[in-house]
Amino acid sequence: MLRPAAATWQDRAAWLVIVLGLALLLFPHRFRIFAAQPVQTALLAPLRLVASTSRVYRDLRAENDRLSLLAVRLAVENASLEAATPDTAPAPRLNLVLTSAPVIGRDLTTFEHWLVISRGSLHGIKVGAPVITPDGVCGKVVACGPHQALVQTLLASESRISVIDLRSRVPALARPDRSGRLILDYAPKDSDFRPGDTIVTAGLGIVFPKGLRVGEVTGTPDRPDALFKPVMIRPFADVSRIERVFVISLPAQTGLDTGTVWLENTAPPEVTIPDQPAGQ
Amino acid sequence: MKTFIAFILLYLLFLVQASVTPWWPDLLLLGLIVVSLHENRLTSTLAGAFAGLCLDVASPAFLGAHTVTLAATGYGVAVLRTLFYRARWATLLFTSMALALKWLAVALLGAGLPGLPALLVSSALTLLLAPLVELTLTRVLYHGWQPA
Repeated sequence: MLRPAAATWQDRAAWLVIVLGLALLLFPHRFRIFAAQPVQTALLAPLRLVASTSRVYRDLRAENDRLSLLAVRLAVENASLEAATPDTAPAPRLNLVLTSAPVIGRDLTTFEHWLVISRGSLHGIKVGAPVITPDGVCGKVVACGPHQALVQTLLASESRISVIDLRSRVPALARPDRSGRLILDYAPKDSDFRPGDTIVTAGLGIVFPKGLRVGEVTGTPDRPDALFKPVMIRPFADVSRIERVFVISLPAQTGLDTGTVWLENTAPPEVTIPDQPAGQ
Repeated sequence: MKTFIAFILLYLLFLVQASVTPWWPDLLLLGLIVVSLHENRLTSTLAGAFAGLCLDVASPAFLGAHTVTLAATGYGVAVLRTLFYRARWATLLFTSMALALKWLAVALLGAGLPGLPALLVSSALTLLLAPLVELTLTRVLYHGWQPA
């Protein structure tokens, strides 16, 4: 076994460092705290920065979620208020349930046609439930598992939504074109659509309640040979960038079907059909 | 340059150590042992004093305790490595000695330091991790030198 080398200047300097460390122990308690405080602040600054950044990020996420929920609540409330025109009775308050759902999957070919969200029947989501964002309508649930649901967006080729021009109250049917916009079908040639008009849901189907924002009219190309007026619409919700959506559903205790309630909101209060005489 | 990087590494290990519970392995101690296995005696002692001072200012009630303990550890490892040069079990031995020194400091200073169960678990994990940390840090910092 080798013997340690004889003490050199390095050894003496090392001993001095250790003795200085021992001397620190002899300082009064108050002085130790006083001397350590600024050094502690400097040494732990990176940790504080990380903790502070993490806290700010968490707060921003929470605030963003809160504001998104608020915006959607306001959108739905706005829709119900617009549905209550002066000549009809105000729509009953439905106490709709808004389920926040992160998007966890997309249609990989276009990123726009289909979304998978991480909420399902266990969270109260049903097939046919409308899906919206703070910006506007996103689509509807077309399949639902216990923990996930498949959303057909506005831009899926099979998607059709009955809409109405918020200004002129002209109804039409919106379908997607191939350029990521919507186009209106069955708009009469003399109908009043102008660029900049806001298009909202008409509430005529059984999926969407009346008055949800859908998009903005971007143009009405002049086609003399067309039977109907072509109206181009830019959807408010940018489907390709959505990360979180809200699914509208009714509270469980109502026991009503969503579509029925939407129809009840828009149909006349009472419709009576006279009995047909027998044999006719 | 390597010495400077070693000090940066010790500082990063201190940040990790300061942000975890006392049940975690003492990564700062392991880092110091690896540095002391490759640096000279003065640098090893200074590295130990630096690491100890970092720990001390984080809990200034015992300012100097960690400084002395880790400076002595650095110096001890730098001296003893000449006796057990490249022995496979040297790292474990040095870690055990350093842990013993830490226990001694805990016994002498008492309150304010981690409780006994946490110290036991932390020491066991430190011993378990010692060969792996030594191998990894040596490869990263000192170009692949490995114990014979």
